[in-house]
Amino acid sequence: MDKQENYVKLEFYAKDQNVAIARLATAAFAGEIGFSLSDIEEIKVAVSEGVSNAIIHGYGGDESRLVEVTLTVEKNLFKLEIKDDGVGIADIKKAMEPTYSSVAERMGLGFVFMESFMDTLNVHSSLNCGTVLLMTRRCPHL
Amino acid sequence: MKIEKTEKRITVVTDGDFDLKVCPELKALLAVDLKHDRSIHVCFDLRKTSFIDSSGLGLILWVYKETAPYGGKVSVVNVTASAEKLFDVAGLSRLLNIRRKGRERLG
Repeated sequence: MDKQENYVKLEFYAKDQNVAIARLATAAFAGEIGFSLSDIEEIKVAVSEGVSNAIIHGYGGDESRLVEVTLTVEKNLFKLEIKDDGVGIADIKKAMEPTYSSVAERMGLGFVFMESFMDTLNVHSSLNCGTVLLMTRRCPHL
Repeated sequence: MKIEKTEKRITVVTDGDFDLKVCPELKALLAVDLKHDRSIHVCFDLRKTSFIDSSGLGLILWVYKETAPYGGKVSVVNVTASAEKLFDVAGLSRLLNIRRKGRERLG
């Protein structure tokens, strides 16, 4: 196996205190890859947004449901996947507009930050079947 | 988290993570104060805040929306470089009075 290649999967209740746990685990994973501190700060924001979205939008505050975060690094690419089995997104394009949010205070900023701080963001979602966010970021050249 | 109040100003010193976990409680606390006076100056002091995301920014924006029409003011001070980037990306730097960490008041 390639020295850099790695895989970690976390599964946790959709509780607000677990956002920080997902963030710290992701930061540790990204640090191991060799991302700089400022890169790691950005990656932490991306995972925080994805997991917060799953908790607030996907599960609407039902803490008994499960969120899955999968971290992979292979072929110099860091992959971050966040999965929930919640309500899904009716209109992905609309949800990703900067001013749109079904919970007004966060004003749809979550997707803006995920897009800004990662190289790619793909959203797969269907109503009542949940949402999968797949983000990638090119690893630093070491 | 610490909230200091004077007649014209509420200072919120958040510590640690300013994220989904702290926002609902903080919002409820501030809602009580803002019910009394929406023309107040609310200052968020992030000197002890190690992380902020859209939940924190959303709360600050909510305070802005609540107070701005009544002549209130929102400032965010002691912002780290990485947090400042979030305010920039969100386009909030134009709306709010944001000051970087370690910089004295500009007057």
